[in-house]
Amino acid sequence: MNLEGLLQRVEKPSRYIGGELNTFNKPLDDNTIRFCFAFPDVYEVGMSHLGMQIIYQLLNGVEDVFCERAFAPWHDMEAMMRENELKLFSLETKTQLGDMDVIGFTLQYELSYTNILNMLNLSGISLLSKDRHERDPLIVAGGPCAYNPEPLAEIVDMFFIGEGEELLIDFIDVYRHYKQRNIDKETLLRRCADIEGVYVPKFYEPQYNEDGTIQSVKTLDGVPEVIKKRIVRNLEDGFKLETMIVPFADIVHDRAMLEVFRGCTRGCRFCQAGMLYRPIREREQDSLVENIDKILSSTGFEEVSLTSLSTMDYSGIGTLVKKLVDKYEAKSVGVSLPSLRLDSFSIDVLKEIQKIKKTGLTFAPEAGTQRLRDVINKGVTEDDIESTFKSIFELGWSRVKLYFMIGLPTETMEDLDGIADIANLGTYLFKQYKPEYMKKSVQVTVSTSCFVPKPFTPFQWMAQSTAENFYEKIDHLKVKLNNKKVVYNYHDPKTSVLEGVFARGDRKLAAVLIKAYELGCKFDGWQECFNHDNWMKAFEACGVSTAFYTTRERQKDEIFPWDIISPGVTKQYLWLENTRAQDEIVTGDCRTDCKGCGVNNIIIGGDC
Amino acid sequence: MVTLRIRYTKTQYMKYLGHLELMKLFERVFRRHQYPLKFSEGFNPHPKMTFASPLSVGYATKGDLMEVILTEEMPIEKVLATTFPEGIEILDAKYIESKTSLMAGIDSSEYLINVELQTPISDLEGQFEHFLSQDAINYEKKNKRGQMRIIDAKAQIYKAKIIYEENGEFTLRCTLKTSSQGNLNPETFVKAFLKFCRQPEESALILVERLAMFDAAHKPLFDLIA
Ligand code: SF4
Repeated sequence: MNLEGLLQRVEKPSRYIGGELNTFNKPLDDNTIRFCFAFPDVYEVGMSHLGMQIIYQLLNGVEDVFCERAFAPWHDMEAMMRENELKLFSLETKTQLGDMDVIGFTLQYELSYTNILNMLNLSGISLLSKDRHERDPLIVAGGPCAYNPEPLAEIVDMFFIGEGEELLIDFIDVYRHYKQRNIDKETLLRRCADIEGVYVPKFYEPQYNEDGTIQSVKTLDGVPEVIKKRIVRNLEDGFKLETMIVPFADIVHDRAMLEVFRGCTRGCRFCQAGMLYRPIREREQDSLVENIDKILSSTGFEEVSLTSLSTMDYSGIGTLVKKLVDKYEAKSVGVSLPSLRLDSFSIDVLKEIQKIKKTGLTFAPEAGTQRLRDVINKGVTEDDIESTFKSIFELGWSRVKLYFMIGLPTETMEDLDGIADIANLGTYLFKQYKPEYMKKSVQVTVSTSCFVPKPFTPFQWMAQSTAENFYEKIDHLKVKLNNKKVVYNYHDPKTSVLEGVFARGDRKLAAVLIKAYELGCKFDGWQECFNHDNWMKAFEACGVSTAFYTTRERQKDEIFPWDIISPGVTKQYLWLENTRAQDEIVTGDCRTDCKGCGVNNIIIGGDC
Repeated sequence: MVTLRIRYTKTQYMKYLGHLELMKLFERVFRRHQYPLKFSEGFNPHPKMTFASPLSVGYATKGDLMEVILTEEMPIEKVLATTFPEGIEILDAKYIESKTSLMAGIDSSEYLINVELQTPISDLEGQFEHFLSQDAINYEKKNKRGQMRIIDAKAQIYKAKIIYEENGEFTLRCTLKTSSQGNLNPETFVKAFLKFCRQPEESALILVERLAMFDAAHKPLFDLIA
């Protein structure tokens, strides 16, 4: 059966057809560099990702580069492809991935790694870097998980660390020589290793201590000892996304997206993104308004979302939102914010948006007590929570969602009880403050996720809770959250433990990953696809213990697998923050008062 | 307020869009081309669009109809210049007065159906004639409550002819009932025939393309309101 036959039978065929508005189809010649952006999850998830949209438009803006897309086919499609010996193909031209020059995977979450293996296998490409030939596609990867590239070091040829806009162009400039056959693959790899922000694992050889920790890393052929992340210094001068692919299928975030700033100055200690994406860089307001207009008129989206790590922190958020609402209300274009802060200012902004659409409200206190919020440096007070509840209920909301983490460092049962207290406070305040006309009853949804210590955070030394421990805490919360108006959702601990293994993993995990894949693991981030038993079999077969990565508390001076990478924030600063966490001392916002994290000296060479 | 009626094609890969996906695409294309859309009231405003007898996923069309309400007229040349992803094209457009709904006018659709089989049917034409001349052409269909019902398609087949045959492949041109009082899905029709010939229906590749839609007097629906 050919592709047509498969599309006639498969579920949701629009995932595989391409041809959406604002996609490319470039004429090809011998010099065209064919780049396939590969997202190791389904279309609906991949297309929701802003980074993909940026890279697609950026690369296709280069004359001799043609960037296409591929996603992980869902189970039904994969089965039919294998049965009919059809290889994984790009959406734009239906070209087999094996015929591409470069395949670029984005690493958004650790649980998508088996999908990378599956996509390579479906393309007929060898999984291990060393087994691939001179003219096989070059396999590259970037994204947040590339900051600890080691679990994939034997699979991916080259990693891009940090923001891709300038880095990718530098890479293409070197790749062009290889494409024109002026240099061989070995030389290509070596030259790329000299580009700032590029990590080529084959030139780095970790040496291990007897206990399995790293003794040192041997660098070969004079490559840089530490790979510094790349950033775009000034977002106004850099590449701006002025159009987007308009997806067909009902994707997760089906709207225009505009990044209002990068970085975050709050310094929450559990948050990896907050450390990785420093320093804060804001876009100018007028330029944003103009940019949104361009995106909307080239896409026809009916909603625009202002994105960043913490959009409420944008200096001019109030006036920006007001401007946009005034401008687009008549055209019925909605404005949305991905997250709200728990404070009165956020509520004022919310009132503006509410004029158009009444979206659901989500807040993230993250921890149940002031003490624990101080430990994780989440600057939310009890007053903030109380006054936020009052305002939103007064304004006529009746449903609110609250996000918390369980298994945070130093957490006690009292901290968990605090979660229930906050939920109960919500239902109580609703009765006190709801408007007269309100007929609906209140619903507070509490969602808990399991804390995963991540590299380059102050908690990178800490032990992660065991699955049993997480379950105990969940059971405790189930009992405590007995208020009929409170709904409790929790994330499955088993996947968080696996995420914890790979987040702080090393090269020894490649074997486990491949074994798990061979046992049938894929789409591990999808609850219904996750197969814990097969994963455990894979660890056992490879003689690798999960505890080494998860429940082991690390020594202050341990060399981590990811120490070869530098996001600019120094290990000394992270340790200092770690000790301050233990002592329950908060560290203020660094927007006005630099805390000396290192980004200024290492990445910028000046003030932030 | 005015009602704009559009005749459009949906071919190539675009035939794989589901109905909701197609509606969303039209809305966005209209917004992108600055159509003066009329929105519904309420918290979740959406444009007022009607699609006549939406096709199943995988079916192509050479001329389906849809209507959209605008706050004011937009020049027809501009409508005709609207660009869609490759595979969708506006063929014709006009403003209509009629208050009758698009759906109510439809009675039948003409299709071109291409069938690829593993093994050819011997005496295909003869078999087809046999099939059509049965007293009742029964097929099974689920009703709204999910129970299987036997339906006689005989009265729902207006015209049907095999126009091409080679090896295991053949093409049918047929006009089938498409209305709210009865609707014969072209794939169901082909499968009923394959069953009649004792052919495995699962392995058959059936490609459907709608050519036109007609009213009860068998006039093409778009031309009717010229
Ligand atoms: S160098 Fe100072 S201002 Fe810059 S991100 Fe680090 S702490 Fe903040």
